[in-house]
Amino acid sequence: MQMTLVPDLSAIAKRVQASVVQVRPGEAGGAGVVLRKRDGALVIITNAHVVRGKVGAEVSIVADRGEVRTARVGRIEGHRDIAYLDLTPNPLSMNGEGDLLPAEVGDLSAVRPGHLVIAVGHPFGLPNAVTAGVIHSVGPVRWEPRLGNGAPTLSWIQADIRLAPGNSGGPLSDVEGRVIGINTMVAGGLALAVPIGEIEL
Amino acid sequence: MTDPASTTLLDLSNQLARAVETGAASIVAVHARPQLASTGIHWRDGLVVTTNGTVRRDQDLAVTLPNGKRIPATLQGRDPSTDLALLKIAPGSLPLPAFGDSAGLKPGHLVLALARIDDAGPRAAFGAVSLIGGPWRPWGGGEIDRLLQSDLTLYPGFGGGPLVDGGGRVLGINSGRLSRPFATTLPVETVNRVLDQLASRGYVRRGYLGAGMQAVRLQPKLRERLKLSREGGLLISTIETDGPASAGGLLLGDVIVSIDQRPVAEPEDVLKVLTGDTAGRSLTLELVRGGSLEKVDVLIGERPR
Repeated sequence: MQMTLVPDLSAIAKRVQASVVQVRPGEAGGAGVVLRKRDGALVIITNAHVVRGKVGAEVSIVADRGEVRTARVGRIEGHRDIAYLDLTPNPLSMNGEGDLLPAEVGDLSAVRPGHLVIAVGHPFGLPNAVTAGVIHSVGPVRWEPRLGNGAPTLSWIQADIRLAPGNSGGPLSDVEGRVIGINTMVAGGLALAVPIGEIEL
Repeated sequence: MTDPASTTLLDLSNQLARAVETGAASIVAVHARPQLASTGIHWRDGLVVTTNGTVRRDQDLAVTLPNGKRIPATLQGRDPSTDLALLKIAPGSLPLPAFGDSAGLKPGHLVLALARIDDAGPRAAFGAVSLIGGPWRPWGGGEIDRLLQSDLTLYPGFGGGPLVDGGGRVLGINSGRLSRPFATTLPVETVNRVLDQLASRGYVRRGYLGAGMQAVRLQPKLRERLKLSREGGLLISTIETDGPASAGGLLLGDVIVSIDQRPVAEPEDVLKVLTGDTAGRSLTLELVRGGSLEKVDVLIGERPR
């Protein structure tokens, strides 16, 4: 078991990293994850606070392999601190997707406390850093953080994993590399992620 | 797209989740303080162990079972010296845990801390054992069989919850109070020993001398003359009126060098000698008084609660 665990973890981390972008609205920024919508187009999900909450704003996107693109803030969900970014077409690539690889979406109904999770982001500007931890619990949090227009009781994935500024908007993934949440904040030392099921694709 | 290479990782992940499920079947949320609940372990049938620091009141106690049902509990006893408290609940309310082998733990072993603070299901924190050591005494003076510290975060409400191994077996109880700064676990043997006393008597019995003392060095010439091998002893700086020390004729300024033939040089050494079974027994104290060595018999009392 010890023989393959470490390579496994690094292979999964690589797979997650391939779908993570840096989102740079200006000097500082955060992370974003590339997903495929039902209509086939790519979308980048990040936190509203990463793009400063402005619909229509243009932001720079840096893919894992370094390709720089621009994207437009298409939609903001303030109560969940989520932003949907639409890619502006890339004239240099055949399908317009370039370096961007969409991540698979996981099944949150199977997630239990203790399951291993991986986060990828750019803590303190360090690109594509990987951290690992476990699910702490899933559901409303007792201190109930309220964002934006303050919806009543929100469900969060709480994870015992170390995150820092720069992880915002990045994926929380299971050990098969599937995205189960969007890392949004740290409260009481716990990472809070928006469950992936609440992202409209 | 589960490729074969990731099955070990998936197995480990599933095993950790199973360990949480297994261990959490025997833990309850303990409602014994304002606001946030703490965690308790159904250690023996009808007996829930938690940390003393989280039981802020003696009455109007309740626990939330894994099925979400809230039932009443009563306080059976406390031992502040080891930060443990024992609650009674209706027998058969939930399963009993399996206990692991904390003696076989080594730094690096993977462990989980579990908590239940409401009816929303168990909570988990994950890390590795960071330090294993011998017997130790916390500030309160209790006897703890083994030092067990882990590199994991005890979140609010995790006090009184179990540290479990990869199979969900309980290795001990996590104490928030003793965990500053490192997550510290009281091993199973310590809990069993304290629980036996709390269950039968409601408190942990300890010997009592009724004297305050501090470590002092003895002059080399004096040591030579009295043929003392140890460099120091314990100077009696306060004597409680009507306490065992007073009744035995100890005087302010006496320097105790041994109790029951065991040398004492630090206040800690006295705590080690005055175990519960010394209460009610007469022990011989060897002390330096006015430049000569004397022996005084003291009837050891029981530490007031």
